Amino acid sequence: VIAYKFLAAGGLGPFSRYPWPLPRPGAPGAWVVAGGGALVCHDAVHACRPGDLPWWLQEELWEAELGGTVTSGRHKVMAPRARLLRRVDGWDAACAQRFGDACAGRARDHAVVALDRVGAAEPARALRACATPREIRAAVRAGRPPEAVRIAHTMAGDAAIRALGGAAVVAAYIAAHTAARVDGEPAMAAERAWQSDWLRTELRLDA
Amino acid sequence: VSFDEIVCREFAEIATDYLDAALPDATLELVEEHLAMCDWCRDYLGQIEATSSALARTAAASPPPATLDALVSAFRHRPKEGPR
Repeated sequence: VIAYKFLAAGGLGPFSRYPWPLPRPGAPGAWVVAGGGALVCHDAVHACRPGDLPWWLQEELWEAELGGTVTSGRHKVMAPRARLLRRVDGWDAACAQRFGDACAGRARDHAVVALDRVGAAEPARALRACATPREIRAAVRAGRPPEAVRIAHTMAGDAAIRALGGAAVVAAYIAAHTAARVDGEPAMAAERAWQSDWLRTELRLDA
Repeated sequence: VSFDEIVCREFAEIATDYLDAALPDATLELVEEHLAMCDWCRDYLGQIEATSSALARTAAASPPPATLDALVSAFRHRPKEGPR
């Protein structure tokens, strides 16, 4: 089974700090076996399906082969062993920034929907006109939305601030929660699906 | 709207269980989802690890039994519910 693995810079497990064996030219990395005492996750190696990616963003993205019986978690898959096959070169700091910016734009769009619904024409117009996280941040700071939609409006600003700070994973989280605040929990799932599709398309990942 | 996820206050309650690998799988997934995007909790976890490591290097001195009992009792009866 082919899946994806986000690692911290230097090929380190983001939680375990385990140094994953990296592939060499023409050869995959060595198998990493769960339960060997080297991993915090005692009984499985964890990886992502494409739809799981937005939850786990780190500096490096790798394609991985999973061995043994693969089971599914909420937003991950688990296997007894895994090895790295290749780095997904398209995922770098610039791509992460584009993704964070896109998520800030999505949070803006959800906030605009909320503003339109309560007839807050001026804050909606100001926010709709924003093309960048910097503009969104400024518009939110200047805006005076009705109390009923103040939180969604603020969340759009928060997503922009986190995108500007390079925290794409947080911008994605805020965008999903902004969607939920405006249109309920199904909208959160839809937003996460949009994020997954963005990453899958941008990085040309297998579905 | 409710979500199946944890927030920082809840993570603080179970941070040591996480470090001890004592969390059930379902909770572990929630914790790591949270840690993946919360730099504040990652910092907190680092502080707990550093404190634990430093204490482990100090001379082991057991408190008197009565003090130990009082501490354990207070810990077990600490309030676990509250505003997030």
